[in-house]
Amino acid sequence: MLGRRIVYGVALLAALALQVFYDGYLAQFLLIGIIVLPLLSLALSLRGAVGMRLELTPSVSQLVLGESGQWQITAHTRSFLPVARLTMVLTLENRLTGARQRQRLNASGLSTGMVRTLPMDASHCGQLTCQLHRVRALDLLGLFAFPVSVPAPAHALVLPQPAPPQDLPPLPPMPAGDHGNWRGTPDLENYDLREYRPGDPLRSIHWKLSSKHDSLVVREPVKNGLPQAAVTVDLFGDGDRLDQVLGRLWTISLHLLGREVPHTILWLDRDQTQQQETVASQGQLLAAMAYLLSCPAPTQPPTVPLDLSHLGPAPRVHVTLGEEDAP
Amino acid sequence: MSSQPLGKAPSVRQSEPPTPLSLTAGVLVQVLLLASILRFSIAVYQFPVGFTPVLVMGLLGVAVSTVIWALPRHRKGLVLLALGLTGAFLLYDQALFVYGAQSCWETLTDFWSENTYFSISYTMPHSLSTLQQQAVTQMFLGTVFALLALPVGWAIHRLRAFWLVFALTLPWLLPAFLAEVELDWPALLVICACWTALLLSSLAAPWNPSGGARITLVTLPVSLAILWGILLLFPFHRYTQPTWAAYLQEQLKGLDWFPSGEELGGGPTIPDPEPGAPRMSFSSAGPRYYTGQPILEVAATQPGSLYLRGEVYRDYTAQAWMGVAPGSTENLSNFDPQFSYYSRSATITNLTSPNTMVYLPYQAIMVEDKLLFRDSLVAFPQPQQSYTVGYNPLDDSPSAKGIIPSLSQREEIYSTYLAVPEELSDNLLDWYTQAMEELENSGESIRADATGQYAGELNTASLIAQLLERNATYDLRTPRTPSDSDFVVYFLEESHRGYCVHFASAAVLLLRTQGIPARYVSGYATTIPSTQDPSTGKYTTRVADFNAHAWVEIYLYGYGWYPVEVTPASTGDTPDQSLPPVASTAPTPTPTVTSAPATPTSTPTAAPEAPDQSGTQVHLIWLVWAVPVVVLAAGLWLMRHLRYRHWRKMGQDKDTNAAVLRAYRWFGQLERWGGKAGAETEALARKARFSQHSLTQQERSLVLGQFRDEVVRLRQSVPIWKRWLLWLLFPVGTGRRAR
Repeated sequence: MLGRRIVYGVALLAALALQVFYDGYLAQFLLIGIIVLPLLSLALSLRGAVGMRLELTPSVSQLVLGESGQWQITAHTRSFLPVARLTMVLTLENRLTGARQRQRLNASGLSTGMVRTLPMDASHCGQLTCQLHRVRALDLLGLFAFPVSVPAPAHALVLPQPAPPQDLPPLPPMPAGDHGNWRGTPDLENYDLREYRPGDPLRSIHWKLSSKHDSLVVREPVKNGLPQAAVTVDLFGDGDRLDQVLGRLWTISLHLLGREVPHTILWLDRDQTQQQETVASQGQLLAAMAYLLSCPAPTQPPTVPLDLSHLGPAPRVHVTLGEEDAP
Repeated sequence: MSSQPLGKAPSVRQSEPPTPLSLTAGVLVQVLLLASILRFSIAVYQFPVGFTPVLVMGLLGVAVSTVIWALPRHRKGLVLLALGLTGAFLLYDQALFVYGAQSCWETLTDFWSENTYFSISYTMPHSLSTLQQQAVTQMFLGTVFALLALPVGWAIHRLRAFWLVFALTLPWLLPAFLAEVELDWPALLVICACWTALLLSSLAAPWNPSGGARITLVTLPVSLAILWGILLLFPFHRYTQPTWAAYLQEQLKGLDWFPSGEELGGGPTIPDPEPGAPRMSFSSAGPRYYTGQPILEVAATQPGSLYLRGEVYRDYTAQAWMGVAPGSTENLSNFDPQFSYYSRSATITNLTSPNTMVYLPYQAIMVEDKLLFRDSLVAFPQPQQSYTVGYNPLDDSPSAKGIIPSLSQREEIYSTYLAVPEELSDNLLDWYTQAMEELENSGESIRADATGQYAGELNTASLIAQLLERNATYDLRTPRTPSDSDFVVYFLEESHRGYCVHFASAAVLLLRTQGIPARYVSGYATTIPSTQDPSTGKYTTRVADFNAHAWVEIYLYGYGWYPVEVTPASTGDTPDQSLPPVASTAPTPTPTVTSAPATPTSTPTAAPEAPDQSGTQVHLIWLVWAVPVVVLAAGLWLMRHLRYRHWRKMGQDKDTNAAVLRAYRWFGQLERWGGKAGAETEALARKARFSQHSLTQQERSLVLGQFRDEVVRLRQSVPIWKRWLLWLLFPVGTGRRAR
């Protein structure tokens, strides 16, 4: 916009100089024309620029590391003429790694319903946030700027790629009387009832109640509130290290869920504050991962140890690069 | 928080192919542009062609251009094919196009020579009949227009860039602008409207062709209406340079920031006028336009014609008349009616602003109760809105009044007012002799009607007026005299056209060569109507800018200065120019013969104390120099812009191998500046060339980064002019964009 203002200023000065130093009519015609031109531009673009509204959305809310996704900027104007140009400041942030990029962005010729896209940077895991600031709609000449309300920020989750199982060391043995072992006989005294879901073992079906309700009811053992395993994560380092650690965590967590072992994921965030998320299902794993990916990770190894005392004698799985150990 | 970059977020700009709507709007603009340029060319440059045949060929070019640029691929091949076919067509009948080109060139040179002081002479080596010439010119011009449609179509349909269209179409109009001829305004308005539409859609159209087309279609009629409105509100035939512009010009020229025309042209320097004396530069004697703006109001006790003398000029140089400084009315004695008598009086009111200038009728005796001596040149010490003058009517046939000048006055009159620059004397005498011979040979009677004591002087003046009338045509649109030519000699020997400034200047010098003291005078000539204002009992008239005039005064010994009219009647279009021509020395102040409006400035009251008629001609020369500079700068900017696009493409091209190879070629161009590709770049270029694998983004970034670093390194090590060239040729910036 500055460049266009300078060009216009130079043109105006040139027309003025011509008017002063040249006594022909053309000088006056040019001067008046150049003075009128921005007014015409303003008149034609006012309606579209003033009524401009933007929406910022991700094309996918979750994607796996390496997949492609896009940020979509959708325009809504009140005029049938397009808005000549939008200038904005774009902030892209990965909450986990703390990487942040801020740049000026232009989008030209936006009509109602038109979508402009920006690729997501899914090169590292984390919660991506895209935000627009200082959005301005320019007139047709690019001389005047009208403020446009800033759309709500958009978020997307870049999930880790599961590490190959063969790369993982054997998990420590679970304690006897594993609550999550559905292959044994369910605990008939301490259970909850719920509707059957595909995949539930036949043994868990409460046939008597099912016949009364005309629908399948299953017994689900009640957890005693304590997870059966603690998964501690070495969550620090640069993006590449974090990707690998999270890939392992993802695989291990899925594996534990596959064995019906509820577990707690524990890690230290950038402020050395202990964070934990309990996972008993894939949904909870996803929620836990969303929370984990939105917490800024330290770049250096934490100096304080994790406090596992409240978890009791649960077996521990430590997720780090190179080796996983159970203390 | 870490500032680790996320990687470049590519621009959201995605250039779109044309849509049916954008093609429609583009074709409309293209057709309007070509048709208007053609009409403009025919009307202004007088190309001997018919409008329709050339337009048809141009439309054919537009159609071909539109089809080519609408295609998704194979465009370059088709452009080459079209050019090849045109070339073959040209070769097939080469002579036809050569004759056409010669005819067009002859027309243009005629136009240029006729309307400017740059004389270019060209005559077709082969004479053709009118029909033949028209046919070949049509064929040539039609082919040119058809070919022009290709780049214009590219700029409109594909690039959607205003500046390229502007650069392609402006050159057709430039000669007319520079020559300051009458323009074909309807065509010019349409061209300007097309430019406006393209300019206003240029931001949106590249990324949203349909939206850009909508803007174009809306803007086109609106801008046409606005431009038409400007033309109606500010009509060109009533235009004069605004007072503020003239004032600003004076002020700027006073700063001596710019070299004067004489310095530029290396011509003789004009002596500084004495303090308070006027100076009339011939560079202001260009085409004249008047608005009819009233300047003075004269309320007289008697109707009739009236000369109002303002300024008197004495010394002639090739570039200007140098004036005589007026005396102050403060130094005059009081008027005593017992000793002096005047039969008429008039109240003269400045209608623009108070002024120190005193416009006096001839035989004025009194001004503001001050006694005037004969031929007094006076000015008020302070600006005054109106003043009263007492005067007697001018003698039809002057006779000696016993006014004998003093010795010093006589010396001044018979030396200063007989002075002619030495280098001109021979030219003037030769011209006079030759003109006399022609007059005698023509059988035309010599005007020598004057009788009485001063019959000799008056008849000589009458004869010179007759010779000038035979030699030159009255023309208010006379272009300026070239800065390297003498004003009078150029008028007499080359241009043969002019208005009162030209005629009066030439007559003064010719009279001086004949031994008659003469001087150049400017002011107003008007006729006071015989309708009496019942409230005041006076006869009132308004003196407008077109009443401005220049004439000659000759010195009659024993009588004093006496006005002589030497300007023939005009055929111009100002209101008082249809009056009967009287190219005589009839000394009666008959303003009807003074219809040729010309004063030092077109707005004489703007700066009456020092009517410096600043040199717009000089500035035209600046314009002539400025245009190539601007074109060169635009060309360099365009080149850098294209190189920059090329560089950005290297960073964004999906084909990383091709991008790396292009960057490697740029390394080759950098070698002459001392740049060198690193080993990694060499290896990656080889890989890009010979390997079947695609290079990664990181490898491409590495090569581009190395190139940028190399350019930055060179910029720091070379002299400043090479640094500038590097900046121009390798617009890689700081590398952030390309990465």
